Amino acid sequence: MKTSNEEDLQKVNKLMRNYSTNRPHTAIVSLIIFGFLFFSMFGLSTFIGKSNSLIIIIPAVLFLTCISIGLIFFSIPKYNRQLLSYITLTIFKKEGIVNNQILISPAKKKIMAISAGIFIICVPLNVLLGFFNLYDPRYMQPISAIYVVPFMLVIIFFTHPIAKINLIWPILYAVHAVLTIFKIPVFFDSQYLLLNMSSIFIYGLFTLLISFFVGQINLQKLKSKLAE
Amino acid sequence: MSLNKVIHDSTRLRIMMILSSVKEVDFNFLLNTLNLSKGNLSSHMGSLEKNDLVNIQKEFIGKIPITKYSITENGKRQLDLYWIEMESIKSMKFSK
Repeated sequence: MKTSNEEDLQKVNKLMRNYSTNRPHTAIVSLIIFGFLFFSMFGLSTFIGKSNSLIIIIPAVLFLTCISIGLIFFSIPKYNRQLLSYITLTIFKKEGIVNNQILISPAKKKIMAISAGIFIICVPLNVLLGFFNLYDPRYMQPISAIYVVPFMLVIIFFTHPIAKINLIWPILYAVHAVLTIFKIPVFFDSQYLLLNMSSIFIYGLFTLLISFFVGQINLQKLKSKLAE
Repeated sequence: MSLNKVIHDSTRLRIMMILSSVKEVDFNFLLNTLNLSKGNLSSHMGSLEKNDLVNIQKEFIGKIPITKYSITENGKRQLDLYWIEMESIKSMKFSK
């Protein structure tokens, strides 16, 4: 690269920013682990519910307990941060670490904390209402969209203000909810209706993979620009 | 008018541009993005640190040793100054 060509170097700056805002490595690892635990819990619960043999039920319940503990462990940032960083670094060793500077004002932090609080209260509430058949299980996903979508929007706008790709996630989740209200089956119907809740993982993974590929394109452009 | 000789080196300028775009990056990222040898990169980073242009932070994630680099306030100032000086040189060339 010719040092006199500062326009090229300004381009490096832009590509670097684009790459760093589309680098969802840890989020992908985290979502895959959560998805695996969620599907395992759902599968095991269904299996236990249908099984009659105690020899099968006892190990299944023990396994379910282990998965639940794992889910709780991975839900607490204090415990999961180090492990997630370690797994991400092991998988994406060559890409190393890139941390972007995100300045979050105290007011925004307060709004994020309130949104997280509402979200944490609403999740078990929705599950309990569904469990006691207080509404048609078909509406579990649309009802969850009422608190999931605003929570996601707050998180995206306050922590990833440049990475608008992430908006695909709440948009797809909201569209799914609207389609479900109009009784248009998106993924699952009949006895597997509750699995529609997994759409949060499916759309999440889809969005993060798009973000990942956009990041990789920017990284390749950055490398070739630096090699000029 | 004198250009900052430490920044004017093409590899160090590229490193400074990368560091000015983000909060911090680690050794592996710079190594693979700039396609340098480990020794070469270490030498450039040492030079930048010696001139108070970058901060070096070493830590462990599990058993993996990590070396993180970030641009200092002086580094940001010097890089801005470098661009201003480059612009002046360019405009001087055109006026001639």
